[in-house]
Amino acid sequence: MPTVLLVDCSLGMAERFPFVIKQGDNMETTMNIEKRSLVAKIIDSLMGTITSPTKLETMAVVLFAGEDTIKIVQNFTKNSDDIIKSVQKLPIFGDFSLKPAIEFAKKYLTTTFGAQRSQKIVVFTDSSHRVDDPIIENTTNNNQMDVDFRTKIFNDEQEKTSSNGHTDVSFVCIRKPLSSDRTRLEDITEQSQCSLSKVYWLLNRDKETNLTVTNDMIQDLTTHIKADLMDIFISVLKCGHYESQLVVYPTIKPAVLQTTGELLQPSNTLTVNGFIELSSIRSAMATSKHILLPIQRYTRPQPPMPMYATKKSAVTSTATTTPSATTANPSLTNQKKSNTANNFYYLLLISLKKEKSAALVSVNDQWFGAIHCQKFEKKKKSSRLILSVFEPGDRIPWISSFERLGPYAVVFPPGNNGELVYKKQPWPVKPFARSYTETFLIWCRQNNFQNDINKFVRASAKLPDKVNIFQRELNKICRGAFIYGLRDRLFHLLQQLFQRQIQLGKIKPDGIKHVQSIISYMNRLGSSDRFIKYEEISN
Amino acid sequence: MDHQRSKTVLILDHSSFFARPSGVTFNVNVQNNEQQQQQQHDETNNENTLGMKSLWTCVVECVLEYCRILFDIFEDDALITLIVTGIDQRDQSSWWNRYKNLSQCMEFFAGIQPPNERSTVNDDDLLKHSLNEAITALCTRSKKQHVPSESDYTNSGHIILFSTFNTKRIETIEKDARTFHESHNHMALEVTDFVPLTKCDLTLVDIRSLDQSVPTTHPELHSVTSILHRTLYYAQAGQMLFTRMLQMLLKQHNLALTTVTGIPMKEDVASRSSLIYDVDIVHPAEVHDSLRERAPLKYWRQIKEDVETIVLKWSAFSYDPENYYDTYTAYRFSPLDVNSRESACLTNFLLSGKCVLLELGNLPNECTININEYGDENSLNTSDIDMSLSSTATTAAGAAAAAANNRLFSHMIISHNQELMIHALAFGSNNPMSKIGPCYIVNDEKDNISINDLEELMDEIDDDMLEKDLRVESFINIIRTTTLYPLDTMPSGKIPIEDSLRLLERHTRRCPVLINETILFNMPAPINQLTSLILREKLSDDDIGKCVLALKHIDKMEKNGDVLPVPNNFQYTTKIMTAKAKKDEAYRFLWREIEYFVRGYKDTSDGHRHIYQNILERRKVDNESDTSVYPSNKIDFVFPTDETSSNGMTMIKRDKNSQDNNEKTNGRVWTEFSDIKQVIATNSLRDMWNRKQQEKRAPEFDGRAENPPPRTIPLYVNLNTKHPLTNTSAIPSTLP
Repeated sequence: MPTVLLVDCSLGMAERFPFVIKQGDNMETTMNIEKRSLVAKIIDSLMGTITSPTKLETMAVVLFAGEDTIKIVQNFTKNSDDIIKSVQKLPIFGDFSLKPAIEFAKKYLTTTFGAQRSQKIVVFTDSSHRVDDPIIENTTNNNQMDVDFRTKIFNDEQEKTSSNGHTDVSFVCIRKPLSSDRTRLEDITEQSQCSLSKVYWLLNRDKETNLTVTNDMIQDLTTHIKADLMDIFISVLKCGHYESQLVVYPTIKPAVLQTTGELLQPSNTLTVNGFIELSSIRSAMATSKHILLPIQRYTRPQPPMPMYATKKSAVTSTATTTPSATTANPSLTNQKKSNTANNFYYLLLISLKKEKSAALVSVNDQWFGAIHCQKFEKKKKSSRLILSVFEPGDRIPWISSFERLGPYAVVFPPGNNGELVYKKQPWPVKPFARSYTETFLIWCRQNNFQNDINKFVRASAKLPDKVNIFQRELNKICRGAFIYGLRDRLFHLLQQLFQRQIQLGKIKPDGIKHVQSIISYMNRLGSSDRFIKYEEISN
Repeated sequence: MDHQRSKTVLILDHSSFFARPSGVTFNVNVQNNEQQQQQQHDETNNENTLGMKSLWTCVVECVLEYCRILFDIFEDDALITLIVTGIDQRDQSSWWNRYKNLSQCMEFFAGIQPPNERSTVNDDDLLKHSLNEAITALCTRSKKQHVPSESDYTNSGHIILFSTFNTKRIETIEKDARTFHESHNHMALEVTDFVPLTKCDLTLVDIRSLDQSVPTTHPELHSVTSILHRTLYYAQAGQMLFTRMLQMLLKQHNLALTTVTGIPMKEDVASRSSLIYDVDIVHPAEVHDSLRERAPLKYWRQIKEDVETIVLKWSAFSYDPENYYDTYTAYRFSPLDVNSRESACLTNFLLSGKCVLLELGNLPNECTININEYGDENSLNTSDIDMSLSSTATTAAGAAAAAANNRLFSHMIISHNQELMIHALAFGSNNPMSKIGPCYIVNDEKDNISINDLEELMDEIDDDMLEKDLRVESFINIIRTTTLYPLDTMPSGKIPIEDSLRLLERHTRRCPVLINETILFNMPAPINQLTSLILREKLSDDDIGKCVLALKHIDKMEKNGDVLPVPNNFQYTTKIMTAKAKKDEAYRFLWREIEYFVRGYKDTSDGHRHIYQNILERRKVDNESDTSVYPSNKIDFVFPTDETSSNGMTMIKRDKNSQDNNEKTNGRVWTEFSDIKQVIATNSLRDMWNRKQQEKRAPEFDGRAENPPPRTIPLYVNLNTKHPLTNTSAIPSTLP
């Protein structure tokens, strides 16, 4: 969703913090950096984690300070480098005035994207910054707030789902806000008709003495923000011993198993259970579709570690670490691993494409999905994998049970210890007589009845050839006469018709014998209680 | 469908009234052109070909059509019972097992004599008796209700009574029905065989012959009690009766009608041109839900013979059943006029395996924005998924321009295992499903489609380029082996899909992904038999012989100095320059590979072990040094193996565990080895010792395995997924 990064440029951002940089294994360098550089680092790190797997977000950067000191430094873009560049030289202005800034950001979002979409504002500031005209603060005590913690989130989420197109505001603070500061932030958000989704902070306030910031802390913070900001999750695709790490976009939402009412969470691992031909799975209905992307091969090189020293180096440093959600400390092996781990992704992609098949994956116990390969609309040569998540349980009418699907090698074992040769097999048809697969006598419309009579009479003209077809038609008509309570009148008319046909010479001489015998059959049938087939009566 | 569907009892009055002629005629004359001309000359002959249907015939026709549609859509879940007054049906207990398909219904009518023309005195009593029977039937347990449960309190039913009525008779029937269902509900409290009736719709259809006019075409509604509701329809036999039946059917079972319009059909082989036909199909009303959410149905609604239908255009755009369309619901449907030529044509087309997309015709400008922009907030997978569109058509003018080019496909008709189904497609650019799937808007304004944005951001990797490196053929074989087919019979104690998991595990255990990693898998016959036979669960003596023969063959090749099929840019090629040394090295690698490959399967059976022994005896590979070729037996290949089990369910749970184990063992993956020497060098004795020790250790405690050692174990991990909690003081945390 479109996001505005609202960066505080008030005087308070010039405050310095000791920043510890680990170099190599044991080397540590400590330096004092300003808050604004910290913010730059956080954004930088955030962009690295967000954009590298999918690059789906569009963001803008707005700086703010005083009442009318608001400046768009970067318009909406998907290029993370532009964002990073724009925050490298953060100026310091005097005042701090949050409310007009949020209102401006909201307006900016609305004019660009319309009011329909849900939008996001992320404010980078510090909790200690105060608006010049303080709002009367509530005296909530600290513990109280902690209790309210979770219910608050819950309420926020409810709101999020119920209202159409609204703006979420998150705060990223350097230090954990005091309860009073927090209330203030909440008030401001409420006043500008946005909803507060979360407040993040880098430093816990209770550790006032130890104010060192490390890269790991920034990493952790951005991982948290990323988890909320982005709708992707990293998953492992598994097929026997093959494995591939990939990004699932958007996140698979938990679903309810209808039979038990149990809420199922999607597993981190998508396990391939087998394959189903696309012509057999036939566009099975899904509750959601997800794009599966490999973790990208390309990762930006590690920057030279001392990033702050001069302003110049701060600008050029495009520090980022590998996008890894599973480990906090990405190593070189990890990078390489993700490169090679993509092999299976591509192997599956190409194979599914060539075989016109889909992989049946289990998302969780009793919860399945299918992965198929899809070509891009424009880039004809390139494809991607799409995951269709089904409703949990056996909910697809033409796949009666997922558990009862057996592999080809077992269902159709090769005879005589021979080699397995694959040949597409039809799926079993449920034995149920449907009116469109079998011809039933439906006579409620004149033309249906007429067709049946026509077929019958036409068959009589071919006698003595095709006696079987004629008899079949005869039995059909006669049975119909019984079903619809028509027999007296219908048999009478048919007898007359055949006599006329004979007179008109429409019946071949050899066939006359047959026609006469059916006339007598109809006579006998007319007085019978129940329908008897022609063959049975004549024998 | 899990919930209990409402039951339907159809009562046909068999009194003498129905022996009367209906005024509806049928013609047994053969209609072809020649005959028709003759017929016109031969007007007097007409009485010889024309017949008159009785009212009874008309009612049976209509009832069977009602049953047909229900059975087509709900199969044996249709829950229909037929009662004819004065006809005694034995075995009162099995009401809901008797009529399970249309044939059985037809069989029932075939055994019934047409009504007698002479009236009997007790017609009214017989009707009353049938009404009692009907309510008994509704209170009887159906197959799904066989045990008392919560659903007992949602037992609802319809009684449709075809007869002739006057005010007095209606009052009597209402009174009787009320008495009966009240007494039955009382009974249901005591007897578990009975389920109380919580809702009952009594529909009376007053049948008249064509010469009698009807007082009103609208149904008359009347609530007798809170449970019992009466509806009265007047209908002349023939078309009007049929229309009323359809109205009842749609209303009672929540069905809807769609007209598939513009179906091109060749008139005959000779003429090139094709005529356009319409086919009406009946299906559950839910099919239209998504459409209704996005745009008012009025744009496509038509009233056909008093029945509402949604008109959708047949689209020749694409019908590739091997495509995966973004559908989210599927329901059975049945053609309204099933035996007509047009319907038969459509159904045969679908049953042959094709599928057809249905398009919204005449897309009105004013609703384009709605369709494109309206995001359904309540739906499962929307709200925050909002792939941003850089330029959004917000102006009406822009939307109107877009509408001219837009085609919206809303539904798809297809057959699944000989069942006709209608799917609702995901459509509209703001639709959460179609955003990711193919865009069903064929649109010239390219930047309006989010999927394009996505494409631009993706790495362009040419599929063909990828294919060169990957062992696609071998994986396709695995795909074929494990292509799933439904099993009718369940072998005891075995879940078929787990067979598939086992097969996948076995086939991928020692199978390289990249071509340039292997020599063994590139070997021609008869050596390739080794790689395919070993994968079997059991080996016959013959198979073992073949494998040993393959090994001997390699021996022979080595002696003869044959060149091995070493792939291009083989990962293991060292800098040895001479051809001889290269060849030797390749053979050395091949033997190692064989040993490694067979070792993976040696515990499968005695036969496998025998072959493995055979390899060892050839002493081509030194058993000791072999661990250094594949330094970590866990990550021999790129993919970390999960040694725990092949069971998919446990895999899910254990997966994280194994993944992190691999990180700890400082996983060196196959493709990283550019030089074997280097590999050997990096594996000192101490490394090996350490690794051995690590393997011996008990599997890591799940929670600990998820976090590498220096970190503490977070509690309430699940909470963490949505609202990160404060774990340790040093880690920055969040507050809501």
